Amino acid sequence: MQTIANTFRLLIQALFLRNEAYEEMREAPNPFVKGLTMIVVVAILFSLVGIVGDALEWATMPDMGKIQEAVWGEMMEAPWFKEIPPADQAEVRASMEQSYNLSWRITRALTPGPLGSALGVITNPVALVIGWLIYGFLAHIFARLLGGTGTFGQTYGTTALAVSPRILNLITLLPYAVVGGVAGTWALICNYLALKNAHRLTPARAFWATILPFVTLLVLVLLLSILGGVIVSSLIQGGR
Amino acid sequence: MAELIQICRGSLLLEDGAFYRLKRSADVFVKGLLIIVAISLIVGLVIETIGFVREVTGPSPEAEIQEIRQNIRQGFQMAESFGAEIDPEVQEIIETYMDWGFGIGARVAKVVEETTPLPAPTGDLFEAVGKFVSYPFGWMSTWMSYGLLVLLFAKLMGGRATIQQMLGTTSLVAVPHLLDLFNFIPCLGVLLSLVAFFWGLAIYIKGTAVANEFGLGKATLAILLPVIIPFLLMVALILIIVMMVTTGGQ
Repeated sequence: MQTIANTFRLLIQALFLRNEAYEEMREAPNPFVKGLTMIVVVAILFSLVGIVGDALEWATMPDMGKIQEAVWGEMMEAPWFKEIPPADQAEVRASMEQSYNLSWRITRALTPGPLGSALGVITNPVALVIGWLIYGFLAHIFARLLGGTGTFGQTYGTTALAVSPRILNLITLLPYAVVGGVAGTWALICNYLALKNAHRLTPARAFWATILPFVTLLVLVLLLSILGGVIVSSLIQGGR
Repeated sequence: MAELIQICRGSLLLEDGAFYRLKRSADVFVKGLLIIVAISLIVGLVIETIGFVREVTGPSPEAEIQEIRQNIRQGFQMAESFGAEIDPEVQEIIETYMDWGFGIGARVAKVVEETTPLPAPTGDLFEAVGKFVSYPFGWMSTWMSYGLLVLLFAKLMGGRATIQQMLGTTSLVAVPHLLDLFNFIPCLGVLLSLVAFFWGLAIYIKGTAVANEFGLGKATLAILLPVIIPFLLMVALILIIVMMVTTGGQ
């Protein structure tokens, strides 16, 4: 119980950008395990809370299938549709129905529901942990190149505290509540403080150590998409 | 709390002491956060309450459709009285499509009423509460992201603020935005928002100057650069594209 209370105290301190939290994590006996536990606990917690909020929001929404049917019925009664020659109506109707159903499928996928958010209990912790592992690895390399003195464990432990802005997501217990982009910006600031404290870097070096992993990932994604595009186009050309 | 209110009052009068007191306080970031959250919640409460009352007491979809239909017909009549006669055939087409569109609206409204598990006022209330509690996040997002950009430029110009100090002192920008409470008043609301914007800008410049320990000129430049640089880049990009298009054709 005390460990849980201690974890949350540390998370709140990190959220309020107090250097002591990052220092404490740096000096912790096993910062990697502590960080990993922290991320998983926070992710599961806000995902569980999200189920309640999404379920309540879902209860205030109409049956999308019925709306889809109603609008389709009215579209078939449209004055312009009646002006289409009867011989062409079936063809126009079929092509319209295809894109109409596709747009509704997308709408339904984006509509909140308890089932979709229940899946988040598994996907959110996994996504956060993967993101943390990749970011921590790159950030550690850049921090060391910039003269940092922290260990791998210390980098991972302190950057795990950047999960603290996700606590704000607890507000999604209320339907229609949205946290938005602030959690991302806040996490960026937390990562900066994490690297600055873990590696004893100057503000300028800590800034570059925080930003460069994102730049690297962006370049990697761009290169991979270009490579993917080249492979696909060569496959298409080869097939001809 | 009393200290925070005094700081907010002092910042409105652009008193140096208010900014320095906030900068030197132990929990400058938390205090800044409190200011942003408190003011945005006050503004959000008023705006969302008014929105909710309007939604609940507003006319039914049928009455709204009737009103729009009447307005459009009045528009036709007014156009005719000004000598811009509309072809009766065109008028008929417009009315046919208008009726078709309203038909869809009415049908959807009926489906919504019949298939929503919770009654409409509950949904409206949930939405109003959700928007109200989300209000501070929008303000916080702007405050943090813009603050970071300004801090970056301030550092390049020799600024000495920490992230916590920068965000703390610039949080005072929210104080004049209490005037946004009157946004619902036509004309006056916009005017007061404009006053709040420029008042806030003056406070932001002062806050940046105090946090970074430099003059108001440098602070103004640090605040403007995150806007000016992307603008100049966009102009340069447009010029390059225009030049490529014009020379490419030759």
